[in-house]
Amino acid sequence: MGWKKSVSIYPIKRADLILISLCLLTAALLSVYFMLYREQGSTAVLSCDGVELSVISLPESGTTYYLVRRTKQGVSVEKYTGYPELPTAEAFNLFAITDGSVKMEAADCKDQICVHHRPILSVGESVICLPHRLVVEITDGEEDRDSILDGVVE
Amino acid sequence: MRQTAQLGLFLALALILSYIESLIPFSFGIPGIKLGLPNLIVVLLLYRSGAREALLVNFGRIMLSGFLFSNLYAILYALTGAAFSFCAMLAGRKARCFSPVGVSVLGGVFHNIGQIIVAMFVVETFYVGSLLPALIAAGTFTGAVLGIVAVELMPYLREAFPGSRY
Repeated sequence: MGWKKSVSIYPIKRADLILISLCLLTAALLSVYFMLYREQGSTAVLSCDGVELSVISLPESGTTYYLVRRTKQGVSVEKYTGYPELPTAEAFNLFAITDGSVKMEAADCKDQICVHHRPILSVGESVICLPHRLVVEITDGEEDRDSILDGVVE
Repeated sequence: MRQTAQLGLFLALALILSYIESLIPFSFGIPGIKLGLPNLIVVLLLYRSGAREALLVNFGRIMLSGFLFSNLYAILYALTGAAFSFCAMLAGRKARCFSPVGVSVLGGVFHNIGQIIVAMFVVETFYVGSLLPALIAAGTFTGAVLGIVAVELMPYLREAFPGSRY
């Protein structure tokens, strides 16, 4: 009975098509822009709650693991050469640096969005763990020297 | 009275869609990208009832799903994303030049943009530009698909609830 009504011509209007193509065009142009100006990063900056925890230079080869733990005293970062044992009592994020790229390997956050993120390697890319307010960002290393200089001047 | 019962029905449906959405991983690692299934209900209500009813159901949906499936922080994030997408959809609806598909696309894109702005403030990093293309494209795609679903559902709803405006 009601099925005949479903064979409707979509009332898609001209404005809809303009909007959709505008959105897709913006997305395409932006991604082309970011692809053209992509450069391999040299350092990874780890920060939590907006505070910079450590600046790690990305090695050309090999795998290192970094375990970030939120303890009662604060946030700690430990470096491992093998896959470390994961803590059970504290909030943690484990990321691996392999051949110049950074990948979030494990975390005990609820949404696991950071763990699903693909490995990052170009300047400006970042992995964000919103529940732990943690971010790993790739930089070219020069910015940090500037900020250190600024700190000295201040 | 009948209006209240109908809105309750839509709230229940939106809540179920919220739950289904939480089961499907669709974020590609970027905080803010969502399928936006409950947006379907908001679009339908914007056309069926009005802005007030749509806002009420959306707010109720976020509160209920937040307390049931996540925590207070997640509610705040979701509210910001929803506020962005609702304002955009309301503007699109009032502009009268869009069909539900266009309104839904606006909602999807602005929801994702709103969420990434929240993420930006929470982690206090100001470089999220590289995520924008994925956010806009995903919002457009999910918005368009859900908009078409909304258009397809409208005749059935008109039949099920005769007397409603749409």
